[in-house]
Amino acid sequence: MTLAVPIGQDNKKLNTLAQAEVERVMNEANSLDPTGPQRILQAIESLKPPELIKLRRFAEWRMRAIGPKKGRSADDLFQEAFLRVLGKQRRWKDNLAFLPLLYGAIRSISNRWGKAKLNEILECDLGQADDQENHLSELHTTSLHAERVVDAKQELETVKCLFADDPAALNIINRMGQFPASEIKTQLGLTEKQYQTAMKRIRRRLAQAFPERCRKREAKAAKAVR
Amino acid sequence: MKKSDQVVKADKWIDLMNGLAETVLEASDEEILEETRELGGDPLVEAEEVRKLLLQTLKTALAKTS
Repeated sequence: MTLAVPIGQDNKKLNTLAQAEVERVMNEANSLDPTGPQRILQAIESLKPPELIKLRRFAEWRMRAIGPKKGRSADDLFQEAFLRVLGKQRRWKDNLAFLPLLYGAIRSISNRWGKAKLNEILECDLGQADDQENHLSELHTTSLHAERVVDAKQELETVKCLFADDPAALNIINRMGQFPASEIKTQLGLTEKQYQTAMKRIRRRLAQAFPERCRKREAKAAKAVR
Repeated sequence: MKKSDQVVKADKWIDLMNGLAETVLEASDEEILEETRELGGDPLVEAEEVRKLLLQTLKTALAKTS
């Protein structure tokens, strides 16, 4: 069986590796293109308020997907994604837009974090530890497992309750992840406007129902700005 | 190996939240600003917070490579 790696240690190692890679590529890119940092700065400064807010909202929903990650927030997610994009600045110089690369990096990183979570659950399903060291790892994994499963189960129940009076929204929710938006609209006979209106209701209610991670993020962001 | 019920539930939650993330990208700028106000936020303040975080990250990356 696979030994569970404590989350903190694993992430520290990955962060160090990612940072080293960014430094290497940034050094190389800057030696080829001394205007690189200036172009990056201009790209950030040219982002409009809705684009910046969408970036954070996107990261927040991705973080809600994987559940609480020790010491990590949505802001950490898009900052790590930005570091990855910085390392690939030569690609977006060649007319590849900056934001799509950033969204791609957020998807990729959060998928990696999410897979680590699911692996913890699967490892726990494999059986009991047979020595003291493995037993301690199992205890750690089991507590994470139990926490996540209870979270997912309760959260899905909460979603059902929240939309008990809104079958149109619930029908969309039940199809999300299984079908693309175009297919959902066709299946439910919704116009673009009806679909977008329902999505707005869904996002608003769920963001209000699961605010704790937002608050954590806001507190951290406020601290960083100060 | 058949997925356990727990993993299926976790998958369903992940699909739902990731799906909602994608809808943010499909939403109009005005909808995003309105949603931010409805949740009690100030869109301009929040946008500048995000910009500052990006600039901080850039500054840190550049300091480490110079």
